[in-house]
Amino acid sequence: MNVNSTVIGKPISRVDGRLKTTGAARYAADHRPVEGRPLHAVLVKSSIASGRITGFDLSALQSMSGFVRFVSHLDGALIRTIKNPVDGAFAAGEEYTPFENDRVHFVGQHIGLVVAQTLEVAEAAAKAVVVDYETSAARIEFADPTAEVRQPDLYNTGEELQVSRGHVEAGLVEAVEIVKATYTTPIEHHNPIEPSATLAVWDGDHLTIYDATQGSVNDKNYVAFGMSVDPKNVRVLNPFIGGGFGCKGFTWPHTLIAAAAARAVEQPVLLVLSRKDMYTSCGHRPYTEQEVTLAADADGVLTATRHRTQSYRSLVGDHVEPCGMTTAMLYQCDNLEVTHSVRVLNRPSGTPLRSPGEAPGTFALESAMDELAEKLGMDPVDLRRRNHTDIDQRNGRKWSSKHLLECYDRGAEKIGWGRRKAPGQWRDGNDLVGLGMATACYPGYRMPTQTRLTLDRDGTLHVGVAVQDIGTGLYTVLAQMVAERFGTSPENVRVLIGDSDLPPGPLAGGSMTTASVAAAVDDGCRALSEKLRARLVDMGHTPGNEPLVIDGGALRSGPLSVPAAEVIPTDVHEIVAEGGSDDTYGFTGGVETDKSFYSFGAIFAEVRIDRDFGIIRVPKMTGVFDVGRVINAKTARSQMLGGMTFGIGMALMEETFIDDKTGRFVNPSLGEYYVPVNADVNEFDVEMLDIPDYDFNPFGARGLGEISNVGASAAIANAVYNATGIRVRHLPIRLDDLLEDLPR
Amino acid sequence: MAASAHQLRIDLTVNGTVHGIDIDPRTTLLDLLRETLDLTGTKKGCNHGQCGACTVHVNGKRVLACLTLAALCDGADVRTIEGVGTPEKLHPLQDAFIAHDGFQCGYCTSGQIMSALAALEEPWGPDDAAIKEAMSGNICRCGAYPNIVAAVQEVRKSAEGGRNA
Repeated sequence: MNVNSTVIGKPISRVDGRLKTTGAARYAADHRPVEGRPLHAVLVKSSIASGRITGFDLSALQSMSGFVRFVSHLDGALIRTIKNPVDGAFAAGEEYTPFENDRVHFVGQHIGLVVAQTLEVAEAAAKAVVVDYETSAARIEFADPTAEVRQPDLYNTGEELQVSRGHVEAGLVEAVEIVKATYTTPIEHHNPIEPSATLAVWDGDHLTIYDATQGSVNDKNYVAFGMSVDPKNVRVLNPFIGGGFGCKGFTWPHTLIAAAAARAVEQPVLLVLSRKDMYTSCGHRPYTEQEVTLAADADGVLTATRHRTQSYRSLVGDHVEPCGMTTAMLYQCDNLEVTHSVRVLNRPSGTPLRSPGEAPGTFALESAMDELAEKLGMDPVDLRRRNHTDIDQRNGRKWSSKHLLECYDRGAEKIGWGRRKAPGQWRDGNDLVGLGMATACYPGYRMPTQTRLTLDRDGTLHVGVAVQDIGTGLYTVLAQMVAERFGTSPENVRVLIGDSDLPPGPLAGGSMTTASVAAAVDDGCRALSEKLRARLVDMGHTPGNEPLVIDGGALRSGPLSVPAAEVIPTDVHEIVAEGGSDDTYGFTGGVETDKSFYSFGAIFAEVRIDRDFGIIRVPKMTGVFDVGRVINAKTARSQMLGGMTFGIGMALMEETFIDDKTGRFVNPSLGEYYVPVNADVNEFDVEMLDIPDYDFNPFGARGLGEISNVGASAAIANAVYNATGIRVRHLPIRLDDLLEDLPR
Repeated sequence: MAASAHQLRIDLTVNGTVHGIDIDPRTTLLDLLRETLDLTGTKKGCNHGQCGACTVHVNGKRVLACLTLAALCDGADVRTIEGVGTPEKLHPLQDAFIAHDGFQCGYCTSGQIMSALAALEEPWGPDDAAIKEAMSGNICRCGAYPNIVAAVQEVRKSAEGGRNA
């Protein structure tokens, strides 16, 4: 690695920026079949939480001009039965097969699809379908005593969800101060601005799908299985995705339904989910109740830690919100118990939402740390330093690279931590002012990835891999990586992603794409370089040991310079090399190593609260992150801004309400589910330590999509406490939580 | 287009081109642009006027195309993102969005740019707080807000400089 790179780490503008700012970037619903226009489809969803469908009355539809077809379980085996959510080849958000039978498990379940010549007719027809049900008893309320309770062993990463070490009771006896409190986090929805959408186009037994998915390869395998066709005959294209945040990660039934309908009507079908559909069709973060016990001696050393998480799952989806995973890892503590339990309810399915587990888990853990610091009379930053460890508490391994103490130092300096006063004591005009902080962390994951590197006769490099840019900047990052390896400008690199026909890569989740492609690109560039050197030798040249540079249409090595058009024979047009890595890091069952991989950071927040109205504002947030080498300073900073903005939403605004009687979400719209808007966001101060982690991959980068959201809600909650002396143990924190008790 | 028995004829100008179209009276301006005219740069995020992704200009003012019936646009002059600039020839605001990284996934971006172009002609005042307020009808879930403000400010200041010069 050239540490003085002219490419890596530079704030290069997005290479796809011209397409995105002119409306020329095509997202799933913007594509059209090669010939003709697609039929439009609209979902019919269950309005009951439990029971069976006894019939559909379609009489109103038949007279609608432009109505084409209604598809449901009555059509027989349109879709092959999927027995497991994880079939080996794919991971689905739900383990049920759409339209398999008459059973209904939650409100919003897809029970039918209307296909029509226009969207207006499809929408009217979907509304006109009358469904007859036989309802059965539903378990909806979180505390329903009849609900089955499960204690799952493992999260989907393979990490243990029930962890015990030492003796918590003995640790409690040793302590001089104990915090024991219950924290809750609400149901939250991803709400990417692009709703999920699928355009399914059949050509014989070949299927092309334009899908709003975070994982084209996963999607391809799922659809191929459900449609009983060879995965080779399915191509998923997702060159642009309008955000995902997890809800387009695992693949969902609507994609299969669109494919099945297109086959049934023998025409291309476009299914675009409505905003309301998005609340029940592709997951949410479930409500969590977290009981945290922290015990410490007089010096603030933790003597016992207990973190018990209760959450829920649907009947057909197995997502567990793994809130305690961070707790089992982060602070030095020999006596620890982490448990997770889920209640099985007639609710829509949960799924990972940006930093699943870490975001709600650190709200509880880092709020409890703040409460403990208060009890001990210690500075909250000092308490965290006191319990800092350079050993992964789960397995005794050293970290590949951990600079968390520097994050605390830099963050405290940048926010002006020294200004902090005792709770409720800082007044500025009519505002109560407070500062709070929290630790941020997120695992380092890496998945097997293959790449194809190509040099054409113009001297342009091409890199192809079936990964996707959901807004992270991957197009640009890939161009930079290849440019770095061949000593050229990113403008000289064409990036091909978002196509399942390319060499396989992982889905965009777990903040793992950059680290995964880093290893694959490194190997692909090595393979191309070797081929090109061999070709130069064949041509009678003697390339030296200097790195091969490809720039200005020529290949150079030391004094040697040969035009690409001469190196590449006229009959082949290009030289192609494939490379990659089969290694998995960070997941159970990955590469055997004596190190653990994690990103760390510290988030500091300043809040100002109107003394009369209790309105909470966040004038400034500072985040300092240890996320390995930064590949692109501009897009990396943007991701951090986005994560911290997500954190403001989680802390102060976002909540989906469920009606315990009917099982319906009460506020499934952007008008009633509040997310941050421009006026809600103020100053962000982001710094990345930029210390490479070469144990993790050859470019030294770790992921950064999720860590920026971790700790943000706790930092704000702790700042609210510092400003007011009021401890709010649930999210979101709203003015009515403060109004009655605000210090006058 | 097949479909409803009841069709309405409207004439409207979109990005300088005159169209005479038979429409289903239920059609929104947004669906007309996307599904009939294939102008897919304008996005549907919520279809309820809550996200701003579908912002276009009608007779010079910003409107939410999802809340505007196409039938009410007879005779209207509509401008969409496709009428602002092209990948080969960007409008200065598009350039500024790229330079300041005023987007991530890019899905809300057409609406942000159409909103900002209109806001620059509206009486909002020069400071960041005013621009944030003017741009708060356009949700960016990726959280590019400070970068959007920076991009709009750059264009506003250079326009101001041009006027003062």
